[in-house]
Amino acid sequence: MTPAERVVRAATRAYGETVTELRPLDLTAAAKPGERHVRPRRRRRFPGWLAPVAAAAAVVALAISLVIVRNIPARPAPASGGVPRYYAALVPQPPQGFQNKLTVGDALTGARLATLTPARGYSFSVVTAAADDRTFVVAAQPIYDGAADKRFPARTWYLLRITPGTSSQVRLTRLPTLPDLKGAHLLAVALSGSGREIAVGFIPDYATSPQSPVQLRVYSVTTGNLERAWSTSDQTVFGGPGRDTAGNGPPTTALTWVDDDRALAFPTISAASDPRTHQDVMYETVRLLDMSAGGGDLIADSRVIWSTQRESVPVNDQHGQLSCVNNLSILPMLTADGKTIVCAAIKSPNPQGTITAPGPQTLAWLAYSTSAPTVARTLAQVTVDAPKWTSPAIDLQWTDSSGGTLIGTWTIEGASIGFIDPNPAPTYRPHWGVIADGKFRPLTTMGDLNLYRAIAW
Amino acid sequence: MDHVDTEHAGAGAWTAERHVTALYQRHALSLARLALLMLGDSGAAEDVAQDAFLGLYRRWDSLADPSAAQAYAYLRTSVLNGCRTAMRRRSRREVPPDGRPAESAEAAVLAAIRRLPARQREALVLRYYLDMTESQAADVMRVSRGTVKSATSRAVAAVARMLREGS
Repeated sequence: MTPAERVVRAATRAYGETVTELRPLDLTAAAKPGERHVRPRRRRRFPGWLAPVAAAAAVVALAISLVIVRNIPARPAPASGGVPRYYAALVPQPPQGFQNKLTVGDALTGARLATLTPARGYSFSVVTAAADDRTFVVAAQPIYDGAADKRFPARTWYLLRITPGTSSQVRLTRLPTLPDLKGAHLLAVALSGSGREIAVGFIPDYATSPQSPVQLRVYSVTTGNLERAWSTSDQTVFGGPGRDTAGNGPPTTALTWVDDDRALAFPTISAASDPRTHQDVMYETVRLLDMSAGGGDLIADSRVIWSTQRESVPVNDQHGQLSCVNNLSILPMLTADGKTIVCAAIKSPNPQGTITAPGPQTLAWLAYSTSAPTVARTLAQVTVDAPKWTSPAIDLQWTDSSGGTLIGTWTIEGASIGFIDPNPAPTYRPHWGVIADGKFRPLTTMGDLNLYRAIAW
Repeated sequence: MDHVDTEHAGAGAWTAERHVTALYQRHALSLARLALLMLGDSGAAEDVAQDAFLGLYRRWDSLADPSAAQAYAYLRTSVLNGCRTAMRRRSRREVPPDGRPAESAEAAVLAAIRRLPARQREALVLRYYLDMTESQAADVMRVSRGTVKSATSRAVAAVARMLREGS
């Protein structure tokens, strides 16, 4: 090989290496195998004098598209049963595997609109929805050493748009300007109702400095510009860093946009010893952060609008009451209209973490008005005949803007932590359902929801 | 070459989706890089690579031999065809390479490559980037081996001359 050939080889290879990742392949853009592909009509050459006209038309078209982006309806058009029609979900491939694909579906018809594959070496890790039932933001993280790379909980971001009735119903567009969150522990992600902003709660440099202050940042989806930032040393916000969000994203209830995107709501959950009773007590609050107010302290600049507490190991009659504070993983949620707190609750004859006696136990979804935050209203309840050595569990997945319709899950879990189970309980699969009109109705149009790692509605 | 399970080849969209997705995971990056070298524009290169996979997906049922080797050959040819089409469309418009400083030696080589006629550029990329033999490049370009040899030789000489003149 001559020196010139060597130079050509080195230069082409170095330049080729500048391509390091690609957007996912969207097969919904193609006709199905065997179907006739209609080639787009080729544009005719136009004379040079048309160039200014074309440029002006392009500006108008851009303006129109911006208007469309800026005028996403603030509230969803509900599907049957009051839940949004379209959803996007992270689906591990293979089942229980470490790489998540993205499935986009129609909850009304049960149709799967698309399954999107991440770029090579990546896994979808976060999905969050706007209020229009058409707009989502998705993040992907690298795969490292056969698992989701926790160093990058969300490295690349995409805008997902659903346009029913068009030839390309699902469109995924890279958002190159959003931050890669390198080294962060992701606590909460929420796309605003309008789809224009995305709020991200995280602890930066978590691996090296786990006590770093929690950050809440709001970015523009279209420009990637940082619009607002808050921080706090209180790590109980967003439910705290205790849960592993790598690979399945933070819970959808950890952060919500309310009041037409003018405020953000988030929970805090903490446990402390009561000096009087020497009992561990769990405290739970929902705080409201006004976006228009100044300041950068997440706690000082927000206010508590709801709170509750419960003894971790109740010795009094508390365990006979329905309580939203069951364990540190269930988060209460403020509805988008800012008027109702919804949460999942258990009335257990035995406290969490102890051997349960067989018998009926009550699970319920509760609502509290922010104007009367101590009065609970039961939205629906399920009575579970839990076998010995098991304990029931309940959670909240989604709420509409007023708390009139919810999506929730309940299940029966095996023997509790801290006890040796002589007869392991069978694995119980969570039951998914729509909570409305005082009833829990099974959600059956979306296939097996337990196959999904995360769902955004 | 990688093996694609052909047990269910031709069994419908699901099979095609599974196979094309696997091929995308494995080959999309290298094909996008190939397109980048031909076009010098990463966005256009990514579009060309994606179009190749979408085309393969649409035609999956009509492939006579849906093995991984044949599918890859199809994709590579599709990418090169897509690059030729893109180059024809913008034949007089020069696009600078993305993110590379024009004053570096590497950028000068790439600029020189992009000034080559399309056939010479293609021969150069196939021979020195993909390490194809003259026969393999001839098959891909659908020309004779002698044409590849002369195109490559002229391309290298032209690049060397442009580099000398530029220095």
